[in-house]
Amino acid sequence: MTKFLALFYTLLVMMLVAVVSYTMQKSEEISPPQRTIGVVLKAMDSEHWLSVRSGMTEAAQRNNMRLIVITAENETAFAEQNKIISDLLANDIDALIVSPTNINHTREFVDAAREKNIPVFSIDEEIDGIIYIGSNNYLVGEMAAAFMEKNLPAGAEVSVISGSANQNAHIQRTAGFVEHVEKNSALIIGTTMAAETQYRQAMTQAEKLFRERPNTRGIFVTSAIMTLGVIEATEKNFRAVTIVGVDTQNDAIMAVKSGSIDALISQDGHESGRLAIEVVAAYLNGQPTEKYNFIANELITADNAEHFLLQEDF
Amino acid sequence: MKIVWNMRFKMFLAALVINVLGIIFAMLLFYHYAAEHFYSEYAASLQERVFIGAKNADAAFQKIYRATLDISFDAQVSELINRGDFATLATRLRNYRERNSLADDIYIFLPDKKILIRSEEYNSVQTLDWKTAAAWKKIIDGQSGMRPIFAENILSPAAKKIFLYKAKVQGSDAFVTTQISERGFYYNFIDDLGAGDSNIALMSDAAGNIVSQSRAYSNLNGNDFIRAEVEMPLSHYSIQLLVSKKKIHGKITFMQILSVLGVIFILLLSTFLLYMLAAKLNEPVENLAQVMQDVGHGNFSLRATVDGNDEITYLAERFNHMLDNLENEKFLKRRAELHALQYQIRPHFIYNTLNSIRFAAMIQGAKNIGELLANFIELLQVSTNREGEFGTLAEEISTLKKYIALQEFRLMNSFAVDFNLAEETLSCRVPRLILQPFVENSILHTPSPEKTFCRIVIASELRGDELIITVTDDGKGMSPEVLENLSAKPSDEKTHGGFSGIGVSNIRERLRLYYGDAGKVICESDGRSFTKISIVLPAEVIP
Repeated sequence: MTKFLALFYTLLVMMLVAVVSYTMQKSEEISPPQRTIGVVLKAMDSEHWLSVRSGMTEAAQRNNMRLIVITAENETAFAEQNKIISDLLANDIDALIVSPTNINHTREFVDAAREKNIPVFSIDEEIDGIIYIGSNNYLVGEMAAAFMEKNLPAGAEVSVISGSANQNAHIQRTAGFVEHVEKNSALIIGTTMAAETQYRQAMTQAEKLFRERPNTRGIFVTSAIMTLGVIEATEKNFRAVTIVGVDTQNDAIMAVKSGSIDALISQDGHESGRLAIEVVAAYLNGQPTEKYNFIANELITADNAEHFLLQEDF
Repeated sequence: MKIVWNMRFKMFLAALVINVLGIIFAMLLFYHYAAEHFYSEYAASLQERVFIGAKNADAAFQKIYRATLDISFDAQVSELINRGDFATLATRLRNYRERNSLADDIYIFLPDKKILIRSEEYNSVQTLDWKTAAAWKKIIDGQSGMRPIFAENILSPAAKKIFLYKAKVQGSDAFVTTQISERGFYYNFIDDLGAGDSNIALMSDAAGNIVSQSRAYSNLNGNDFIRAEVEMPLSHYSIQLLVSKKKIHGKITFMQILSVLGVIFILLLSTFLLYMLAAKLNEPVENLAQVMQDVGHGNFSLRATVDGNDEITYLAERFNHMLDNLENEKFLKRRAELHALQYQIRPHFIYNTLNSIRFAAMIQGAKNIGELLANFIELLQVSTNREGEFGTLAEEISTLKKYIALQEFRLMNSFAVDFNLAEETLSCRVPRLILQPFVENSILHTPSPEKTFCRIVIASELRGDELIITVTDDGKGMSPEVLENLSAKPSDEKTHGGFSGIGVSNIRERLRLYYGDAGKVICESDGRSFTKISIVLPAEVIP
């Protein structure tokens, strides 16, 4: 009987200890050492950037970080972007993620950040000496070229309508495409045109291209929103050209599904947003980080368009 | 109600005590955990609420910051300033303001010319006096970057509290400022958090100064509130929500009452169930107890109910079995008594026959034989008499004398017996036939070839509370071995050739049974010339 009682009381005490330690542990949980990450994106006028922000918000919540996400008016407004960045740097942030609108005007804020000891990361747009998160844009161009080569006869003329020449992503994509076509295929490069990364501009450029180079059989457009502009021009001019675009966004994928766009090279904004925050978290926690952090790019055609539609968050 | 401490009640009580302890312990644990949980959950939900509110408020600040920046980078704005077309500029500002519903008004201030262009329809272009201009310049100089300043709008007719963002217009010597009314901001973002009679919602700047609040907080004791605070990353303002502890205490008290009621309810329920259970479990025990009681009162025909296969069933079974045995035994006993009665008839027949022989002897003149027979008959009667284990010493001596007379006839002048009895001992109570075995012993075993005649002395005296009777002979005595044997444990061995067949050890045993340690037999002998047996027993005078 005494043994039984001893056992009983031991169990009782153990239970009490467990409960008390559990409650104490619980009260310790509420102490968030929060970090603030400043994020300056090129724009918020396309699905791509919205999904980048969504991926970032999700990952930031998981990593107990606060985000300040600000964008310039449009992708060309570098002065405004730089002003925003300098205001951000003055606003107690622990790290800065930038997708610069103009690669020729990054020095100022990179230096300012270095002075304040704030680490800078670039997303979607490479800056010299800065950790990069996003697509391997040269590879994106090559993938587009490979698709063209497969779908067009030898000797066909292909051209590039590129986004802003001030943005490395577009330059890389164009270079990847042109070099791959010239080296590895029987296709001929017609011309490469650059415009602002906007719907209207792309449409104008495409119409100009059709006027100047009527033999064009294929066009590689380096952004989705521009691709949609190019389609409008094609349809207006009843041209049968193979169009390849970049970006994973619903309106463009719908166009792939319906056949207006032949292919898209995927660029999952949600994924790059998520990856960017993970890289920043690792860096701030003192873990080793790579200079280049590429997301996977895939070829979207009418066959697999449905799959990518389902993947979208919106 | 009278409490019967029967098995059922004890069982019920034991179970109840364990139950009550268990429930109280569980409830205490539950209550402790629930209260803790309630507090932390409440604080977490409060924090969550404030977090969302702060996120929205910060987004609003960001929007105004961005709008101000947009205007400052608007090439057309710069051009209109440089051209001096302030009326058009005012219209443009009005368009901007309409896009930002939170913006109270938007000003462009040219410090050199002291000109103020407002997004208002009325009096939209003003030239300020130098004092006002200087004061305004001073106010707006305090702001830069993403953190708004909290100030008084000295340019509005009624000096309103405002949050203000400023940006230098690109390409012109002018500043654009966007004002947000503090009240407007409060009702849009802070009031919704749950400001009320007992709650306070407020916003403070990075230095801790309160910039917007529901009502005066200064005269309230901060300890009476639960506080949730979230700092906004962009504006670096903090939003706080203070909820009166009284309100939560009310809820906790309610929970307390609820748990106490819960305990009472569970206790009542379990008491009832336990009572029922105890009754059910005890039914066979009570049944058995009832049967036992009835049997105790002599009703042997009753039997306990046997149902099931537990310990109680086993007990009932064994009890029934025992009753069966008892009844059987009673029957056997009665038969034995009948037999005994039959056996008693025989001694009477013997006495009668012997008496007839005695009378025949007397008639034929053999008086001697008649007396012998009379003694023998009397001895027989005493030895077979079942009634009364005890008699007086006088009676015992009288019987002894008859025995001695018989032995004298048998052995012819080989011994003589003297009596030395104290008068007061004669009425003492002694067990019957207690002396005869010793006397017999002396008569039969004492004579030897060397000494053919011996003398036996029977004496009695009272010594204090003890009656001491001695039988002494002057025979050959007893060797130490024999003495040893006499003192030893009683054996089943019977003496042969004696009258009663009762051994010395038997006497010893009888004395022990009657008197315990107070009755004893002491044997003394030198092994040559005498043997002395002393019987010691408590003196009991029969009146």
